[in-house]
Amino acid sequence: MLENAIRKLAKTIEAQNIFCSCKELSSLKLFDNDKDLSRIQQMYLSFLFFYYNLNVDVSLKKVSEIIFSSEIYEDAYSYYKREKIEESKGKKERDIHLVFKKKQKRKK
Amino acid sequence: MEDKILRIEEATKMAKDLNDKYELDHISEMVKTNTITFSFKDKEYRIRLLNQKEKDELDLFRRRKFGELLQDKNILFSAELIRLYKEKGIDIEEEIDNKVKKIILQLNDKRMKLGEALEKKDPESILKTYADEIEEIENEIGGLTIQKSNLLENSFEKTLENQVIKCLAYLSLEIKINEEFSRAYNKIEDFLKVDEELISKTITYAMAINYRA
Repeated sequence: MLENAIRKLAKTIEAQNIFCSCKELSSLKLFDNDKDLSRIQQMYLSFLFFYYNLNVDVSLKKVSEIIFSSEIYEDAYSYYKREKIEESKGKKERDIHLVFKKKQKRKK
Repeated sequence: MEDKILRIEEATKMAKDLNDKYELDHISEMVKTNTITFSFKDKEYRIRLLNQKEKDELDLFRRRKFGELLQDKNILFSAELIRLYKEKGIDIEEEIDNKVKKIILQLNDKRMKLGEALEKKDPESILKTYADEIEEIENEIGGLTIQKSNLLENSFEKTLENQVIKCLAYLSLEIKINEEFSRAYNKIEDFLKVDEELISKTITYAMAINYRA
């Protein structure tokens, strides 16, 4: 229940604006404390990043605003995006490996 | 008549919005200050992060309880309990763990399909179908997880965890007296004698602040 409330808070325009401002202005702080982040603070930070990334994709028109109508949509899209990134990373690593192997064969 | 219904609907919506706003403001303050304040039976309480001395106290409590529970022959480790359940025909590994693993694969597959559909801007009816299927799978996983947790409720690990959480709650709880907050109870035994509702509230909040997943 608390997690839902924190997620809801991180999703608000106000929270997202403050988060973006904090990224630009180091004098602006999200929390009273600088260290010893509590579980709710860590959770809040991760949701702020989560919604920041979704907002970026919506503004770049990679996905429509309909995504914000359901948390299931939000989670599924983020999962899909992460998996695609992992897949392309894996492909890159395999390509590098292949190039390296070909070079080694040529040397022999 | 229709006007009256509309006004009532509007008022209900306004009340809900205000309530949501209040809840969000409360959560926002909680996150910012790293403390949770709440009232219970006309008294004001606060939950805060443990300091180093209290963390040491909690660690000592954990080690002492570990030793005590180890001596108790009636408390079994979860691995032993799982074996005993299997002998009695309840195979936790096969009926729950493996089932959950399979369902998670299905869940991830549906998430990929929904994610792709969202990216391709497919019609809402398609999105909704995937979302309904995901919700159903998530509920199934939730049910199985609760089932396993209930079966292992009295295991050594769970018993130790429950006792440590109670100690954590006791150490985190403060009461407001003359505008100052101070430790609510001097002994864990006193804390465990209070109203169940206060204990349960304190545990929830103390874990939200202190517990690191």
